[in-house]
Amino acid sequence: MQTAKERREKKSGKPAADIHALRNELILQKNVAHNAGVANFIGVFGALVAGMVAGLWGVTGWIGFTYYLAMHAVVSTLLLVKCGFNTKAFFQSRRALFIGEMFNSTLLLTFILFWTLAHNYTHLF
Amino acid sequence: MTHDIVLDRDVRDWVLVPLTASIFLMMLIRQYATQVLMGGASAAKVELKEVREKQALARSQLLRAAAGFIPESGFRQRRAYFAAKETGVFSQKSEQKSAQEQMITNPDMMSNMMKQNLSGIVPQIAMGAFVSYFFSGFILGKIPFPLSPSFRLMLQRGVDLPALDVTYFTSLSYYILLLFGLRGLLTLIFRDATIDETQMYRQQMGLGGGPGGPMGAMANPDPNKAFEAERAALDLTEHSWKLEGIEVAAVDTLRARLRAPPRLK
Repeated sequence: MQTAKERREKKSGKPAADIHALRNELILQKNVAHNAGVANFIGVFGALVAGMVAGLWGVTGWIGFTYYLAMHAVVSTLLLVKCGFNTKAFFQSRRALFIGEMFNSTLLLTFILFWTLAHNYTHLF
Repeated sequence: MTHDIVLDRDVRDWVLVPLTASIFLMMLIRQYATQVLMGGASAAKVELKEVREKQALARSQLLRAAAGFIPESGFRQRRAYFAAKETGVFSQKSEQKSAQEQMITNPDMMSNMMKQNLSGIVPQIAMGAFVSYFFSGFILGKIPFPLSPSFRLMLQRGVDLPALDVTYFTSLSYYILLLFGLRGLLTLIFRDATIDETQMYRQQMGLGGGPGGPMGAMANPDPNKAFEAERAALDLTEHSWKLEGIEVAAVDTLRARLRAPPRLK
């Protein structure tokens, strides 16, 4: 029994196209941008909630950033589960998406702002 | 470590919360104002020739990117349409003026830029002045994590006490922190249409050292050069047929799918 690829090659004599490699090229830019926007939305929301939680609990010091990292880990895991661990089909780059976003300035600044705000409101006055 | 400063509860009620709320509202108003001002301008008249040339450039870029998906004869036909010596699209002289001329002769561009500046930067400066006038000279709050002394200048503008803990900040620095932090919140409300002022600054600094770069509705700096570059790139592209043997693969896929009969819902 020949494999499918050998059958294709035998027919025309030229090397057969790699179907699985092709699948990575047929990507609609608009949809990928939409997915990135959704991921950003979830990230900002998570940073906001994590900041509020850290502030309300009265966390001070650099330990507070573990709340941010924990939130980021949870959000990334949920995103991975949601897309069935097949990030190639939904996002542009795989690990760079999650690791690159860990120190995204918008997320960090949102976290810091809401942490400061909640902490000051409840514990400082 | 150091003694905690006890802050008056009135400061919290009458400064922290109103300041946060007012900056947030200012950003909302700025967003809507930008949409209203710019929305009208984007319906400005655009020249047909200009649109045609821009579309031709876009099409040839698409052609170069996806050349492997059309058969070779098709690719050659399209390439000849664009890059042929006498009759190709890119061999015609572009009919637009350069960006400099356009800036002078087109009054819309100037007003566009002015509106952009007006709705973007002026409210920020105005709010900064407002904040520093009303809420000057006292501590608003404390950053929850420790910082090195070099942050003192950034966090305690206007207050000159070296003995004060660096983590206490004054109103002006809180204003700047709010500006950056609320950007994230605004992306929650306006998903894609968030006016990101850092992008605006980048755009203005990157494109052209003259009085600001084009707003995006205008053409390339020199359309003839763009045509030349595109034509050279087209001549360089090779056609590699990516869908070799795809018909056999299609047969295989169909067979595999049809083995499980489709369910009628």
